Order: sequence, then structure tokens, then C-alpha cells
Amino acid sequence: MSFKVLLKKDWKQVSILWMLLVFLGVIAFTVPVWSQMQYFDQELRNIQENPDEYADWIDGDSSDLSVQDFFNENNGTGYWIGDLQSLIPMGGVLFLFVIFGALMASVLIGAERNSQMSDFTMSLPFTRNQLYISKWLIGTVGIIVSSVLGGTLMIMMIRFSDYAFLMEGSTNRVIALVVLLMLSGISFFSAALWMGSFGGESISQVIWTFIALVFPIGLIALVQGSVYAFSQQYDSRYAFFDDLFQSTFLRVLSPFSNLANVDMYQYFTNQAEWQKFLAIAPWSALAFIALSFGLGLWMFNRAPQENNGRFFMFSKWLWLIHIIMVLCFAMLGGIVLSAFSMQSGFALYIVGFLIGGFIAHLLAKRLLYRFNLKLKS
Amino acid sequence: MLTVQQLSKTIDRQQVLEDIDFTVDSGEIIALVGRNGAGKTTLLRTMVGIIRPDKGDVRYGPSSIFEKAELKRDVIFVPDSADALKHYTINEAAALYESIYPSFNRSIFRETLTRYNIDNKKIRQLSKGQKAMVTLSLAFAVQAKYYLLDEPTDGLDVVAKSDVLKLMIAQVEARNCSIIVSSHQLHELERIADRIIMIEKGRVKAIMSLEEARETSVKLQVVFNDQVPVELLERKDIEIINVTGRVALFMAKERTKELDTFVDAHDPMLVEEIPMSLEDIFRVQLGGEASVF
Amino acid sequence: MLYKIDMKSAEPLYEQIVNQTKALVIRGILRPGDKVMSVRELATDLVINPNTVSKAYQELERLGLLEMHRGRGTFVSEDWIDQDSPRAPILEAIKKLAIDCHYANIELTEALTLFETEYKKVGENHADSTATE
Repeated sequence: MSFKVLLKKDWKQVSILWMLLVFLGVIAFTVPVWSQMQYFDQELRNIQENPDEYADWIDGDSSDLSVQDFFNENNGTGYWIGDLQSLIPMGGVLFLFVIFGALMASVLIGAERNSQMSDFTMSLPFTRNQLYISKWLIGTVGIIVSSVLGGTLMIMMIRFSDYAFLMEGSTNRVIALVVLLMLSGISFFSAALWMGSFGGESISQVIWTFIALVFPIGLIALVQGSVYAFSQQYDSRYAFFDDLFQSTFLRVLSPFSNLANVDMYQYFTNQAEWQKFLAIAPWSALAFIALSFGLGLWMFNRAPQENNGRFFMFSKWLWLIHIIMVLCFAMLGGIVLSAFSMQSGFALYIVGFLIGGFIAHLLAKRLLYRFNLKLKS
Repeated sequence: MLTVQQLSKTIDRQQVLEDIDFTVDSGEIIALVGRNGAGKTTLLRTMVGIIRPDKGDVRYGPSSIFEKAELKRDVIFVPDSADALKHYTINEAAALYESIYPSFNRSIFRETLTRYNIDNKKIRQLSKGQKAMVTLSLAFAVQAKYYLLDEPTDGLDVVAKSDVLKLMIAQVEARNCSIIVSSHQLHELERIADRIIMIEKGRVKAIMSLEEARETSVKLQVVFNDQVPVELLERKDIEIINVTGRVALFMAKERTKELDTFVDAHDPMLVEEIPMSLEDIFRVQLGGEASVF
Repeated sequence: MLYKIDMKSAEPLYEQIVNQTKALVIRGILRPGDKVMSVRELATDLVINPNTVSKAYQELERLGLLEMHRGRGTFVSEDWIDQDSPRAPILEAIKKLAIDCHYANIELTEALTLFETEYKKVGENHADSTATE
């Protein structure tokens, strides 16, 4: 069917990255696990060979203890080598997904906008919806394949190792975690692609991606910091923001927040935490995906192609971006300066606010209104 | 039939297109001329649906191109550089076109390649002339009904230019497709265009054939018995090309009885009407104050 | 090849083709029964709009000089009569010739003799070509 053509065309552009993503995904899911298990082996061997060195920590005779005992915090030996949580390489996988999510999105839209390929695709007998959906599907499928393959290999690896006992009773939770990683990866990619719907070329798109991932948390942090700078104390208003950081509202808007709010220490052990996870985490991620996909689709449709090459293609709304930028940098400036002194914190905040705002204003004028590729009129 | 209706577009607070209105029949070659920045490329990009107008419409047959994406199967826009497909090899590009356009004819495309001796390489590795031939051949192999070409012979050597023009002519004759060409090569256009659309600052200044333009405007060479009269040189409605001794060569945008009477009143020895080329027409219609774009 | 298009001339392109075709036939370069270039061939050869060539050929057909046979091509007619040939360009040419002769110091009698010779020569060719089948 005609849609397949779009997939083939987008595939050609992104194939190397896609395959690299799958390959590195497998690596990110397995190699750290393997090396961690090597570490476990090493520790166990050390204990076996040099029982005296570990005598201080271990209650009782080390030769009576089983391997499992060293991995149980509670009724164990007093010496703890590690647990399931330390085995699962969340950080590495997330890092990979952020980078490749941004890269794929940049190649799928940004690179097109940099050349006349963007014009070309818009002159093809396809609707803009079809164009966007094709790109979204390719990236998303890449993340799914990477996660499923990597996650499965990781689970098998643990299952068939000496440390399979770590996963006993927790297989569901491990799978759920892999699913969350996958959904987070899709979130990163979906957000980056959305940024390409109005970021007029690839560098702009990358900058916007960074902003999009950081902004929700960042904004709350700035407001909270400003509130603190005025009151100089941790009062109820400050606490309000702390609650906000943990709210579902923020978890929907920010994939990072969603991840950060999973208490990894309690996740495998605490039933309540697991229930909370099931109730909120995957749905927040799905909500974000739906939001970013929907907005990306809508904005890709509406973005005026004559503004291709600009930092922000909806030139009628540049004023809003300008204001937000100035406000955020102003708050940042205020917070930074007010941190130098407790007494004159308030005054320093005002000064920092003005300085930060001014610098941002200059930056905005440069970036927003003049940063663009000149394509022919 | 292609109909452009009341097309208007503002970009960056500037009116780039204003009330553009014209039709193109099948088998016509239409030249789109105007000074740099007049809005020609924007017009072409709008006509193929890349840019959405603020007002007005572009219809192919009964339907608007902004509502039916399938219409784009029969409309091909060829921009002035082969930038879009530069990373594709020629075969890959052909495969792409084949899968997108059901009417794409691979053997026609192959034939052009062999005729011009072009090997399968990455498009960006081709010479400028070869790039032009490949992009145009790809476009024409689609056998579409409408072609919008932006400066197709720009920067090409004489042989390549001729090849491109011949390709265009053969296509129109064989398939009765319509071609709208934006170009600065007026000497080429005057030979091949049925009609010429002159664009000035986003507005249609005039639409006419070369013959009609020659009937509207006039180019005169006058030898005066005495000096060339100052009143002639001061007239605002004419464009002086040359004044040497007692001879004045000038053009008037509009033939008027008044001008004839005026010239006669100044005792000319010889008044000769010189046929205008498209370049003359361009100058007299779109010239004006020395403004470099 | 056979045709010379002058973009600077006041004469419209299609008229130039019509008149030059006539001249080619009269001079015997194109003979009755000869196949002429198709519209596409001539248009690409001269690099001009095919509609112009088409218009010219239609006019020549109307004048009886050319005949279009579907599937086989366009040919010079076996017999034709020049119905309405405008005199104005001829008069223009005569005017120019008169000036040129004055410049070259060619006397009227010599000019007339030269013209008579050429006229008769062309007449022979014309008679020859219409005589052959």
C-alpha cells in the first residue's frame, strides 16, 4: 500500500541508527548484568578464600552460609553483596534511549528540514498525518524491539545464572520494569519527534528536545527556589512544591519525573510500592506518549512550511517563547545570586533576576528572530 | 485544468503573494518571470501544496490541492537544486519514484539515462548538468499532468540547457502535459512559452503571449532632424535605452496615440518600430527604479 | 537545420515557419511527396514551442502545401497553389534591396537583369518539382 512507501523511505534514512539502537540495546541490557555478576562471583570467592578478613562483618561461620544469605539485607549475614536492584542496568538503558531517541528523531525530521527533502516530502501525494505517523512508527518500533530483545536476554541471563534466586517471585516486577524502560524510551523519542514538528532544523530540534525533557521539572524547581529565596525557610509553600515533584500530574508531563518517582529500594521488596507502581507509572508514561504524539502530529500539520529553517516555526507565537525564556532565566539568575548570602537573599534575588532576565532577552533576540537557514523565496 | 484563484500569502509581515489569479490549460508552456524576490518560488511551492496560502486556492480540475493529497500524483515540482535526493543513488531515486507514483515509467527514465550517458552514482556526485537531467528525467518519467519547474536551466552549460529545453518540448508535445517554468533565461522562454506571467512584488503584473505583449508595448528608434528633444527624455512613461547624437532608442509600456503625436510634433526624420524581445518586455513592464534585489 | 528562426524579427514565429517552408518548396529543396519533420522533431530541433510548429503546420495544411497522413507523417503536397501570400514583406525586402543597390552602386538596369535571372532560375526549379511525381 502507499503507506509502506513512506516507511521504506524513512527507513532508508534511519536504518543505521535503528540497527545500532537494537544492537546497543542488547549490550546495555546484558553487559552490565554480566559484569555485575562477575563482581558477585569475585566477592563470593574472596569471602570463601579469605574468611578471616570478613570475620568482622559476618556473624557466625562463613562456611555455613549459602550464597543467598549474602544477598538478603534482612535476615542475612551482616555482609551484603548486592541485590536484584543493583543487577538491573536502568541507567545505561535510559541513557541509550535518550541519546538514540533524540538522534533518530533528528534524522527523521531535522535532517529533512535542513535540506530540501522536507519540501519534497510535502509535495508527495501523502497527507502530513501519514508523513508524521510513518516516522513515529519507525522510531517507536526500534525502541520496542531493542527493549524486548535486550530485556528478554537480560532475564534469561539472570535466570540461567547462579543468581537466578534473586529473581524468584519478582519476575513480574522485572518484566514491568523493562516495560517501563521501554515506555520511557518511546516517550523520549516521541518528545524529540514532537520537537521536530516545529523546530525548523536539526540543531533547533535538539535544543528543543533538551528543553522539553528538562522543562517541567526545571520550571517547578525554579519556582520553588524563588519561593525559598523570598522566605528563606522551608515552610508550607516550599513543601507544596515537594509534593508537586511527586505528583501524578508531573509524572505525566515528565518522563524523567515518572522514572524518578519509582522508589527502586522499595520496588522489589515492598508490596505497597509495587501496587503504586502498577497504578501510576506505566499509565503516566502512556499518557505522555499519547500527549507528545498527538501534539506532534497536530503541530506537524499546522507548522507553516515557509518558516522551515527557523528555531521556532510558529512565528506568531515567538513572543510567548520570548517571555517564558526571559522569566526562567531571570528566576535562575535570582536563585543563583541569592544563594550567596542568607540575610540579603531577597535583594540579591532581585538583582540576579534582572541580570538573568536581561541576558535571556539578548539571547532570545539572537536565537528566536535571527537563527534560521535561508531557503529560497 | 489548473486554476490559481485569488492566491495570497504573507510571510514575515510582507505580502509575498497578492491576489494571484490565472489558469493553465493542458499542453501549455507558461513562463513565470519576475525580478528576484518577486515571489515566483513561493508561488510554485504554494501551487504544489508545500506552503498553505492565507487566502485563495489552487485547483487541479475540480479539487483543491490542499484538500486532496492524491492530486499530487499528477503534479510534480522540480526545485532549482537536486538537494532533496542528494544522498540517493540514481537507481534508488528511481525506485522511490516508482513506488510513490503509479504512473512512473522506468524504461522511459532508463532511456534518458543511456542517451545522456549517465552512470548509476550518488546524485550529489553528478555534475550540475547531469543533476538537472536526472531530476527532470525522474520528474518526466512520472508522466504527470502538471510540471512546476524552478529555474531548470540555471547554471547549465549551453549543451545541457538545450537538452533540458528539448526534453520539455518533447514531453509537452507527446503527452499534452502543462509546464510552468520560472526562469531568468528570457531568450529561452520567448521561444518556448505560450504565455508569460509577469510577477511584480507578489502581484500578477501581466499575463500574455509574446505577440500580445508586442501589441501592447512598443520600441521605437527615432532619428530627429535636430537634437533629441529634452521633453522626450523627461517623459516618465518611457524607458530610454540609448541616445546617440540625434538618434533615440526607447520603449513605452503602452502604445498610445498621444506618444505618436508627441514624437511627430518634434520633427523626426525617421521613426522605426523595432520588434520587442521578451527581455525588452521584461524591462519595460518590470524595470523601473534601479533596485537590485 | 533548414529553418532559421529570427527572434528579433517582427514576424511571429509561426509565420516565419510558414514562409520559410513555402520558400523551401519553391526553391525545390523540399519536393512534393517529401516527408517533413514531425511537429515534435521540428520543435525540438529549433527549440521552440510545439504549439507554434503545430499552428504553422496547420496553416500550411490549410494552404494546401502540406498533407498530414495519420500514422505515416506529414508530407509536402503533390500539387499546391499559393492562395494568399502577403505582399508586405516582399515590398519591405524590395525597399531594402533598393537601398543596398544604391550603396553598392548597382545601376537600375543591372539590378533588373540580375533579378530577372534569379526569378527565371527559381521558376525552372518550381516547374521541375511540380512535374515530377
